[in-house]
Amino acid sequence: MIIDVIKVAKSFKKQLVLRDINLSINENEIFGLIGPSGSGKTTLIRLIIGAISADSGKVNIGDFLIPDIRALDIIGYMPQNDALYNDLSGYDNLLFFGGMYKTESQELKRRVSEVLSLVELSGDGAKKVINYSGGMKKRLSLAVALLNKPRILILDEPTVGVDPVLRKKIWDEFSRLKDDGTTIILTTHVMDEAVKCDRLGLIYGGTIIACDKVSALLARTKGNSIEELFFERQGQ
Amino acid sequence: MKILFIIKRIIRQIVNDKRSLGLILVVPLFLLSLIFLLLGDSGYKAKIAVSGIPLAISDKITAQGVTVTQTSLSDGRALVNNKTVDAFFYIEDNQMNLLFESNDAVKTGVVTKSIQTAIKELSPGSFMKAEFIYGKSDDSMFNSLGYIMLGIISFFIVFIIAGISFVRERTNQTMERLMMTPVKRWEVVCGYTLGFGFFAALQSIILIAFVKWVLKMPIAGSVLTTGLIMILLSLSAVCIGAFFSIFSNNEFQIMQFIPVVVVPQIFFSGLISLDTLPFHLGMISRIMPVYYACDALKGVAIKGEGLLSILPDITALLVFIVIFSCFNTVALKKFRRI
Repeated sequence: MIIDVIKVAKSFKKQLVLRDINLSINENEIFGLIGPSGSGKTTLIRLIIGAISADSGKVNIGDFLIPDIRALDIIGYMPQNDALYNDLSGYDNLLFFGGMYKTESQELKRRVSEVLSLVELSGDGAKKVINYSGGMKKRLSLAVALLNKPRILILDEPTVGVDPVLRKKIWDEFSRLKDDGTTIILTTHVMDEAVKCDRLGLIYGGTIIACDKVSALLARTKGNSIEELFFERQGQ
Repeated sequence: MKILFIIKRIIRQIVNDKRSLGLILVVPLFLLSLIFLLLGDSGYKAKIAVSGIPLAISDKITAQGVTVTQTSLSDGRALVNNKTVDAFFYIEDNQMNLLFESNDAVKTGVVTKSIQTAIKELSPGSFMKAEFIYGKSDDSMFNSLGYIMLGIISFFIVFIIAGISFVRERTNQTMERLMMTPVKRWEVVCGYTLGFGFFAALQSIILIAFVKWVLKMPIAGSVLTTGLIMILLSLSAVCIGAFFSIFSNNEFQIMQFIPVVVVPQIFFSGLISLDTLPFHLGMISRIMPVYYACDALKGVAIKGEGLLSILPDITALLVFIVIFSCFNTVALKKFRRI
């Protein structure tokens, strides 16, 4: 399913956050949105998923014009902060969010155990989330996003505050999901993570300043570092 | 059923949060016991003055622990006025009269009860006129206070719990996450109302059982109808709490709504007589669910009215629930336009 962002603009309280955004994200790729904080990454992600609506322009996911409730069936979303119920156990969190998709009880329980072991939390499922460490919360949050076997996975800063070992594991999981045919869109401001994506959209000051394959972007730089493309922009 | 998952989740959350659970189920019992102690038959030794009352009756009154002083018709009023006695009981024009200084719930309660008992034994069917130097007579005042407090406490607590829970759901961004699943907005509102409704119902059952069997307050009408009123009031508290959470960005901002939303409802609940208010200000009570619930509670628990005669009150509560549920369903558009 191809995701098309067409001429999208968005402002909050008269402050322009995004302007004239055009993006096309292909099926079965890992697309990274990279940019400094405050550049509009999260706003763009929320526009794509339909959590907020654009002032002008439109977003299409396959045949769906966003917002469309049917599109939510095939999307998995992991917001920037963990967005979990602290008073519930990890297992109950998954059971609840899983219940929001059309899922028969037995099948749901099976899927919950499946995603729990996928993020290596099988042993901690019964613990209340309030007792989880930061990394565990992050993994559980990812597990929630995977519940409905999404064809499109949208992740807002999935590896912030995650240690290098766990980060590698999470990225291994991303490649595995991609091999299964999942499209992944993620935001990051860590450059060494960005190069693991198939394609990158560089976002700065509310516009996409470059969008291409990682190798093509690197070829444009002198020092073989994506950061240079931002510094160039800043200099102007 | 997605609604069922939401209900189950809310129940689990509250069960896991022992403080909220205590606030819903234990605190009302504590508050009600306090009120009962403050208003109830505390063994107060009342003093009354009598004039022209047959000796048989005044003896019966004395037998109930009330100090009776014989006086003249003209002195009696003065004795009440300077608070030497709590009440003046006299016969004038073949009519039994009872005069109080003011409407003090405990004193009037003790005096009236002892005199009524005495009269009932000796001359059943006779009529007594109660009169107040200050304030006016309201037969149900003494008993109804307890039921009014029952309504207020229940509304107050459910409002806070539901409002805060909704605000937390927003600040934690779990609401945004929830709205990014294919759940429908009305399903979320229904699930929420019914989830909290479960605890509201539990609270109502426990409270009524406590009132009836522990405090032994009389419930003249059907216990079931009393429960129904309490549950409807709590459901309206959930909807209204959720509604005001829309305008709050954190827990403290919910607290700021208490003087705006809850306190006026206490004033207009029937605790204070509304008939004497100027400019029809009493009509304000008609936009307050607590007013209807307390009116219905008084009707059923004290006057023994049936479901039919409190139907207007029940309807009003249902209207509140429906209207605020619709508001809330629309308000969720903030998270997802569809």
